[in-house]
Amino acid sequence: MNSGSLSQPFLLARGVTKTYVHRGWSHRGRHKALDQVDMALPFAKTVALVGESGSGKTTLAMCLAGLECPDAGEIWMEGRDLVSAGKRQLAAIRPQLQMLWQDSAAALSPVLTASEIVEEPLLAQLRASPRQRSEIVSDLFQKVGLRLEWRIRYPHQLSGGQRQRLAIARALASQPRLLVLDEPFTGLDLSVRGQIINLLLDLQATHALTYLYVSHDLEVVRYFADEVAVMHRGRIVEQAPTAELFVRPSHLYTKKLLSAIPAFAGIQGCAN
Amino acid sequence: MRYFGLRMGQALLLLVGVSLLSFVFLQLAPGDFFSEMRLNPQVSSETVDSLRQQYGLDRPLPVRYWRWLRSVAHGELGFSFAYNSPVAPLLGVRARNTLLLTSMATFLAWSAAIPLGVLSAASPQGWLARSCSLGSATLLATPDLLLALAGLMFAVRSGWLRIGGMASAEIDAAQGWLRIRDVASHLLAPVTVLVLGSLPILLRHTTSAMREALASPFVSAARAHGIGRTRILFRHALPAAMNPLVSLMGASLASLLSASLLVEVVMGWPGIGPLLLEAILNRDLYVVIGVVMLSTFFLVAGMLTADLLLFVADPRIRREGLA
Amino acid sequence: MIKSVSQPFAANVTSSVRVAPSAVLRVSGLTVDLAMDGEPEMRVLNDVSFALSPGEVLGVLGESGAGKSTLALSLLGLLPRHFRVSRGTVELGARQLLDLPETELRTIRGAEISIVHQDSSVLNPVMRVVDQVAEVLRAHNSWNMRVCREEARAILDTVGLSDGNISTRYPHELSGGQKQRVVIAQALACRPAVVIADEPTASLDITTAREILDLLIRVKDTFHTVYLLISHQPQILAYAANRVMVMYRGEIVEEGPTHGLFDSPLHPYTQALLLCSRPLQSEIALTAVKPHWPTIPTEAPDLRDFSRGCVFENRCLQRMEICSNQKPAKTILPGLHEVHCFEYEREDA
Repeated sequence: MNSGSLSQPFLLARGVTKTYVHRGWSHRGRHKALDQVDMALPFAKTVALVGESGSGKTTLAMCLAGLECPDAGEIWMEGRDLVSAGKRQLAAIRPQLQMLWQDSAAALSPVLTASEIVEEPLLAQLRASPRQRSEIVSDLFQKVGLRLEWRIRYPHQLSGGQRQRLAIARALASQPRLLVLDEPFTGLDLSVRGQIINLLLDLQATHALTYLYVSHDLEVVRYFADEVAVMHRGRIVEQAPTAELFVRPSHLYTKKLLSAIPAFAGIQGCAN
Repeated sequence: MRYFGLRMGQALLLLVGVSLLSFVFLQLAPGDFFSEMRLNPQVSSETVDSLRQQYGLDRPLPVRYWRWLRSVAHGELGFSFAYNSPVAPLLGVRARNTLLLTSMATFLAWSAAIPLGVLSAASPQGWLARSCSLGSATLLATPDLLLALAGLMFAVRSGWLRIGGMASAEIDAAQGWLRIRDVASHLLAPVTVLVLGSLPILLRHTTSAMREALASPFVSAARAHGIGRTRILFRHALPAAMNPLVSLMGASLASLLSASLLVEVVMGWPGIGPLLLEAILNRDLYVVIGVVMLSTFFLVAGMLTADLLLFVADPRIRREGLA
Repeated sequence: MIKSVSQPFAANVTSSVRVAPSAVLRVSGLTVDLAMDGEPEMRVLNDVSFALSPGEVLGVLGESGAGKSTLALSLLGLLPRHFRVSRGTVELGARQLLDLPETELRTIRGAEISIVHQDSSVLNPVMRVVDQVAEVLRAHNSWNMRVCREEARAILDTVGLSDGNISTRYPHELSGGQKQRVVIAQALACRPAVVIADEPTASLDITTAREILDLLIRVKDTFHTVYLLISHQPQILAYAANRVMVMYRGEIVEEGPTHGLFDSPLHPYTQALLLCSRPLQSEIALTAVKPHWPTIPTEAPDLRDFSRGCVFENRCLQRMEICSNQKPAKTILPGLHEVHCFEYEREDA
């Protein structure tokens, strides 16, 4: 299947449904996190997934990243349905789907050094000699802008921005096609945020990566995403190119969301 | 509540399973109560056989099991050959003695562990913390047997404490306060040994739970609000540290019957321990099974209580089902 | 929502502290060092001076490493081990806080200076919400618990948690906004003179953040407090602060009225920082090819490398020879806008 063709989206989700069942002591219930979700991700572009907390954004992101299995529906990628794929097929596909988390410190093992963290995916997938692996690790370090002398550092010895770069390097080690970004810029200093955003943009251009960017920071979404999908209560209510969605939102909920962008008066030139 | 019903059902199944297994294992061991008698040339084998028949030891296993179950239903728990009486009243007295010993020891151990743990965690470099740590390490390394023997030797040599049995022969039940004092003086040595044996672990857990609680953001916030140190320790940090400790308390309850076996045997306390040992050596079948069942019951009850206590103590667990 | 400075000040260019007639809190030349075992000393705060006037909200803008939290802890006397105040004074009313013994400090903390934390994990998970507020009251008054609880309920009411149900709940049963209100209630319980709000809205979403800021502004006048509002987000300070102080690597680089500072930032760091937070309004944005998000070049220097010159020098696009040799002094410009930069010093001389 030609993943570069314009008509065929890179990833197509159809009718994805997921329900969580609670079995606690005092409370039982079913929570429908995803309800018949249809979504298409164009190749080598960024689609943002926005919505308030509880809308199901993270659940959908995890399903698309292969970390959760939907109860129903299909997720087509490169001619294969991830939901109905067998174990071995999934194991081959998984490396192509990588995820970047909001809390980089929690996502990186605190007992491994930086180079060990980046090397881990290589150990699982490649049949490379230790020297080859070491070369790949150095290469990745340079790609993400980390100094080589930091290879021996532990995550807690790195700053927030450096940790996020390390997480990106680890994700790149698997040679992914899709990168799911779960609010990776929150918690970073303003001046560092730009560096990480720029890095991701550069990598997208050089490696033809497709991004799914989950966020509720509409300012960055407006800048970073090519298309925006709005989620509300487990359903996608609207999906459109960014400029269009911000200027002419069609769904009621989208309008409501956009109007809540802070009217923090005072900074001159603030768009709203 | 359904959850508890489920747990109790499981507990019942466990008890049945344990009883079956006990029966099977004891059957596997060669010989029975009358095997010793066989060795005695003065007793004819016909006598032995008829005795066996009388006590039903020649019947097949399932039959014996069934008869035992019926005996349990009648509240008798089988029959002791050595004591020539139903097992239940025998167990009753001994269990009471053991519980007296262990509940006292558990209570004292916890009463010491909590304040010591709190204060140790409060000043980790202080003399109290260091001496507790050293003391715990030493006690942990010392085998229980050694502790029991040391206690015994001390009691005998110093003459301050009474040893052997629960009460002196001179004083009978009618003398109220004297009787209590007498029992207490007999209790002192075994209780001390038990406390010294269990205190180290409790202390370790309490100290580490408290240390973790003291490192929490809400404790620094309390300090920032100007709340006093003692208040923070006991009213803010300790309740938050109770979570792991409550489970431990349940485990303490669960082992009430079993923890003191060694001490009882060595120091002569008339509890379940010596009874069990005797019965095993004598092949007093139903006594052994009875003790095992009782211990299992306590274990399960203790665990269930621990869960219940946790439910009561930690508000977060009560709402587990909700986000 | 932006109030201009309400009182006329005597702007004295040569003195190092703005002379305010009735400052509630005055900090002069505060310098804090950190000495870990086996490592050279790091200067975490360098010569920090500012004052809080009655009814004022002073915003502190800075990123991680700026020293904002260290500043907050210094004011409360809660600096961790290895931190040392090398120089400077902190005056609350007539008292010198840095000289006070721990016992006296404990009566001041929570009662005259208190702190609102960003993370609501500062709430005890096994204590009811009303008790947590009552505990603060109990620590500073000689009332019994019942009276403390009643008063606590009244304060919870003031911060918007008037539902009787809520006060008997535990923190995990409340939403993020509600928990933050409880934290605010704890800080205001004893009607302190100064409240330090350390990133009070960092973990909240936009709408709730605005509600919390509105609440803070509303109770400020009721309780007659002043705020030191710390944040890394300029829009928060633009909304709620009268004056803003920009910190970088332990030093104040610029200070001025909110409006003036955000409209025309003077210091290169402030300019770059504000650019980073609103790229779409900058001139270099909006071309067909997705432009790069503005960022500040290179990295902030390691804290251990204490430079003799300006802290921002290695990343400043307008740096000059003198910037690496000396620290710029304070220049006061019209509109009570102060900046530490040689760029302006030249003109002023």
